[in-house]
Amino acid sequence: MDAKNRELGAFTPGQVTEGRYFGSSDAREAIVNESYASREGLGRGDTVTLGGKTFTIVGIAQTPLGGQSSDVYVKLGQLQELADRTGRVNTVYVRAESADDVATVAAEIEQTVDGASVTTAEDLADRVSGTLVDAKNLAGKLGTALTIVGLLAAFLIASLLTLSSVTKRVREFGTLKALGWSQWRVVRQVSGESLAQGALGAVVGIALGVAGAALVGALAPSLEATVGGAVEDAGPRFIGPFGQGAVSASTTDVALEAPVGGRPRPRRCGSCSPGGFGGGRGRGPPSGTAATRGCPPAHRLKRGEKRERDRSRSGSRL
Amino acid sequence: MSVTDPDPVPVYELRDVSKTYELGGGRVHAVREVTATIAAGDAVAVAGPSGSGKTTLLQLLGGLDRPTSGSVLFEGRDMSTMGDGDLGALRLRTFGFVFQQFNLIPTLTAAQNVEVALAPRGGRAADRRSAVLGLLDSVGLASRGDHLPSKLSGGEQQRVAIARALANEPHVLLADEPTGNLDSETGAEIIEVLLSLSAEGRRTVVVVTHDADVAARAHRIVRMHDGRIVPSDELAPATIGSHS
Repeated sequence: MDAKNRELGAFTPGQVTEGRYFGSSDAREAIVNESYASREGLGRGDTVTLGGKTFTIVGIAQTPLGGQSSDVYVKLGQLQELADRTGRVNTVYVRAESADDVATVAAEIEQTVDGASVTTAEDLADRVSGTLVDAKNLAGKLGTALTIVGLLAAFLIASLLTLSSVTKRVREFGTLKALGWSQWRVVRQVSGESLAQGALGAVVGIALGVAGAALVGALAPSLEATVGGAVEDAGPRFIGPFGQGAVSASTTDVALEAPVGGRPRPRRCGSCSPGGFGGGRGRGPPSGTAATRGCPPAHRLKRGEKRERDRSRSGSRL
Repeated sequence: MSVTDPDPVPVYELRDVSKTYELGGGRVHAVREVTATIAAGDAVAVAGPSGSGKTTLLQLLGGLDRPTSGSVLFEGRDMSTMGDGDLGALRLRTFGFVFQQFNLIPTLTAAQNVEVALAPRGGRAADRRSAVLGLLDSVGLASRGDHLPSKLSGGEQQRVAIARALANEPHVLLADEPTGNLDSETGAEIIEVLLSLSAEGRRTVVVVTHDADVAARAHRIVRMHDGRIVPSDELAPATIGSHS
C-alpha cells in the first residue's frame, strides 16, 4: 500500500474498522483483513512475520466487495524492499477526471504501459450486474416452478377433498334420490357446491397470496452488490515471494475509475498527482513511482446505484 | 284389521317378485317369489327378523330398486320396466320415504330439510317456505324450523323426516324402521302420526318393523322370513291388504 496516497488503493482509511491506517513513520506496520484477523485470532498490537521481518498490526480493514482482497497489507516501500523488488508494483489505481474520459484513459494506459491490463469500475460493475441478472432470472424461474407445483398440489388436494366429501355424503345423495331428485340434479348440486367452494377458496387464496408476496417483498433482501475501488484482479496482495500476485513488469494491472455523469468538475485525481504516477492523465506509471491508493466504493447496483449517484453529486467519486 | 276400500284396483300388485344380489361371489336371495296386493289407504306393517327381506321389499315398492324377476305394478304400471327418469318422477310425486336413521342433511335446518323435497318441483321460494311451515306445523314442529338436526331430539328429527316425506303430498308413505332409533314412547307417537296419515287422506302407508308392538298397530301385518311371506291366520297367504 502506498501510504502517502490514502484515497486511492485497495482500501481507504475509512475502511479501517479497528485501529488506524498506516502512519508516516518507518515502523513496520501491517493492516490485516477482517476475515483473516477473525480466522487467525489477530488483533491490534499483534504481530505477523513476513519474510523474516516482524510487522505490528496497527489496524483491521474491511476490504471492499468486488476487490480481490489480501490477508495482510504493508507499506509499499517496505514490501518492495522485503521482496527485493524495489520500484516494482503489480497493481496501479488510476482515477480519471470524468467518466467520459475513462475509455480514452484506459486506451492510453494500455498503449503506454506494455502488458498492462486495464479494468474499469464499469467493467467490474457489468460483470457483477450480469451475475445479478442471472441470479434474478434464476429466482424468477424458481418462482415459476414453485407456482406450478403449488397449483398442481392445490388441484390435487381440492380433488381429493371433493372425492372425500362425496364419499361421506353417499347417504345424503341416496336420500335425495329417494326424494325424487334426478341423477343430473344431484350431480349439478355437488358440482355447484364444489365450484362455489373453489371460487371462495380462490378469492381467499389470492388475497392471502398477494398479502404473503407483499410481506416477502417487504422483508426479503433484494439482490444487490457493491463494487469497491479495489477492483477484481487489481488489489495489491503480498508482493514478491510472500504474496499471491508476484510483481512482474509485464503483468501490471491498472484499475481505472472516474466520476460518473461527466460532472464538469475537472480535477486532477490523486493517482495522477505527484506521488501517484507523477504524470498527466493517461500516462502510465513511471517505474518506481507507482501509486496504490485506496479509493471509495466505486459502483453500486440497484438501490446502491442511487446511493452512489447521490454521493457522486455531493462530491464523492465513483 | 281391514279397511274398506271401494277402489277395486289395488295400489300395488306384486307378481312372483324376486330379488337376488351378487355378494362375495355368492348369491343372496333377498326376496323370493312374492305375490301380493296392497289396497289404497291401507296401513300395512311388514314384520320379520333381520335379513328376512323386509327392507328389500320396501325398496322394490318405492322404486329404489328393480326386481330380478317378476313384476311390481303400481296403479297398474309395471315399475320394473320403468326408466330411471320415470321412477324418479314417481318417487318425487307419489312416494314419501321415512328412514330409520332419519337421513336429514346435518348442515341444513329442519325447514331447509323439508324444502329439499320441494326443490325439484321448482316454483316460487315464498310458496315453498309457506308450504314448509305448514308441513312442520302438521307434525308439531312449527317453532323448530330454524334448528339444525343436531339440535333436535330423535323424535323431532323423525317428525321432520315425516314432514319431508309428506312435502309432495304422496299417495304412498313408505317407512323403514321409523321407530328403530327412538324410545318406545316416542316410537308410539311416531307410529300414531303415520297411521293417522293413512286414516286422514286415504294415503297408503307401509311400515317395515321388527317391533311386534308397532306391527300390532297397523291394519295389516305381513310377516317375512328368508325372503318369503309367511302365511298367518290374519292374512291370506301372499296377500297384503284387503279390499273387503
